[in-house]
Amino acid sequence: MDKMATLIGLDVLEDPRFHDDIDVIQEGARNRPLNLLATVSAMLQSLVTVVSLALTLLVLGWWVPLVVVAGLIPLTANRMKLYSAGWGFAIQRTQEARELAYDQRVALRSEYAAEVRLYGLLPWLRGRYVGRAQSYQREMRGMRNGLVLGALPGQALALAVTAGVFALTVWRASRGEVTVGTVVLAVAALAQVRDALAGITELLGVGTQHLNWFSKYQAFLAAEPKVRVPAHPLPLPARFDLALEDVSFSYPDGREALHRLTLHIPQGQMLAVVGENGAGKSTLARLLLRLYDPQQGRITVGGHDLKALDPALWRAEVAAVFQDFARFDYTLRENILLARPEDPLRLAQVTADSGLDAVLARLPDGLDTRLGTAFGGTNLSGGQWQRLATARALYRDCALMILDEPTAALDPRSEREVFDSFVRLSRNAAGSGTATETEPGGGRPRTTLLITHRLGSVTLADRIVVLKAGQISEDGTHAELLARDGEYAELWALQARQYAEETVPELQPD
Amino acid sequence: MTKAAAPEQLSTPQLLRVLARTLPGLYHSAPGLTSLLALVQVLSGLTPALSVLLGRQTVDGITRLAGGGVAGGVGAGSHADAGLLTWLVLAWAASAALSQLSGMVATVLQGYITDTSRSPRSAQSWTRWRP
Repeated sequence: MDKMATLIGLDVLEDPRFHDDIDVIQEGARNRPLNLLATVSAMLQSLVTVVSLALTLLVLGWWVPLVVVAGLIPLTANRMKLYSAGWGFAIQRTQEARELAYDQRVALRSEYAAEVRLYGLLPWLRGRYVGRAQSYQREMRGMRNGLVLGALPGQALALAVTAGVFALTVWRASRGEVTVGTVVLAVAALAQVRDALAGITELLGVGTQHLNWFSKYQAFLAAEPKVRVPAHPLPLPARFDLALEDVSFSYPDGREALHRLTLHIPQGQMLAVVGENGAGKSTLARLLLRLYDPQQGRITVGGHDLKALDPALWRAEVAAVFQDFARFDYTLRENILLARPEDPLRLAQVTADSGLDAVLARLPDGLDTRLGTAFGGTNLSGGQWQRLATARALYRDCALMILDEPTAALDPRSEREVFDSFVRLSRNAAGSGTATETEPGGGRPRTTLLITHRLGSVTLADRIVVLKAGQISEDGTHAELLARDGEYAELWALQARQYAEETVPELQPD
Repeated sequence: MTKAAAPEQLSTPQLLRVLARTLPGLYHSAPGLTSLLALVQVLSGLTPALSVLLGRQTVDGITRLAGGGVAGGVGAGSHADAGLLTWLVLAWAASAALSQLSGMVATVLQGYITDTSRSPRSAQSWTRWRP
């Protein structure tokens, strides 16, 4: 968790290899350190045993310990290979193991339950799961069998060496060259050296797996995120005018989301960003939150490069409602506060502004009602969760509010109510005072960035920017863009027509 | 993320390097207990050789006491041999007891070390520890 706190961007979380590594690390985090300790200490004990027993075999001749140990080396090497191959196999199949776990989740978790039943997916999921699991086990068995069979020559050599030394000792005893006690010593020492060496090989094999795990763990600890905290961050500026200067950004899969985008957003402005899916609207929001850094160009806040600011301080000045907002299975109060100090008046205000008060009245324990199904709480509807996410954002006293499709799960009436609240709160914040250098952003006008493809809500914005293929295609007010009769006007007309078509049938008499 | 990508299967020198980086981390999570564990394991590792040597002496002593065999080669056994045998048997029993006891102590110590390394403070030092 400490390490995750240092990974402040999202780049790492979107890399599937990272999830593979995290799965392996998580799976071993509880026991690997203890197991390695147990292995290393047992290895130390076995090494002392082998060396001391080998020294006792010196009574049979200086060469005896050397021959006995040398005869067991091929067996040792094979066992190490077996364990190493087992680890390699498990690592190579981590993604497949994750896919198996995913199939299991889809079959068992409530969020998929309705569609899984509707489409009769359970037999298909079961078949898929069983097929994959069997293939996995078949390959694992094949690999193990091959290695075990390959160990047979090594086993035979080890047996021949110990049997040979024992036979020689008995022969020498029969000739009176060594005592009966020496024969007993040889029997016991040979058996115990063999056992101790076998133990060491087992331990080496197991230790190899532990060390492979530690290697991944150390690589995880040493991982450097692309989005970094500056060594000497600048203080937050007095004003929060935002500027994107020639910004380009591509996702790790190579998809270019923004291309040489230049945009100035004065503090206090309510800016709507519209465009079709994939135009780069949400990417713009993520860059402003510094969840990613642009590959080209720069983003400035009050003239300071965003990369030069402390991300934690900057994010404390920003609130956001995402389309795929988080649904925490905590109480409703905890869902709104999210580790912020409680201000009862403000809490009451935001529950009213977000339309949550009606929901609240029906909950058994009010604000202290546990939400979600994971711990037997109350589940909310999509629209109610969205109102909750809105309340969470409104609760923060922020200088920049980012609304990324904030009303996607709301009906038109609720959507309008929520937008009216946003506008009212933004206007109130805008009129509440002037920023000062000592109190960054304090009493400052609030900038609002509204990202949506539902144009009915953007008429309230001071300014509208239309994004197309990662670039600004139009920029102006609602009236100006309609007058321009371009992309925005076309989208507006299209949506107006859709609304009309959806509304007319409702007006028809039965 | 620029990752120091871990190879899927490490070679022996790479494994040894990982071990060299890992052991100090384990040691620093509980230095005293880890040292004690090492001492116990060394003692425990010596007990099989001790038992074998005692066994040899015991068998040769019995052979001498019985008055035959190559071991003594001096005829009938003596009171001295009987006394020596008693001490050898006692020493063997002590060695066996040490072996059993050290195994139990090692298990207990490993548990303590694990508990210590799981405490939040130790976990932090473990996470922050760098070779």
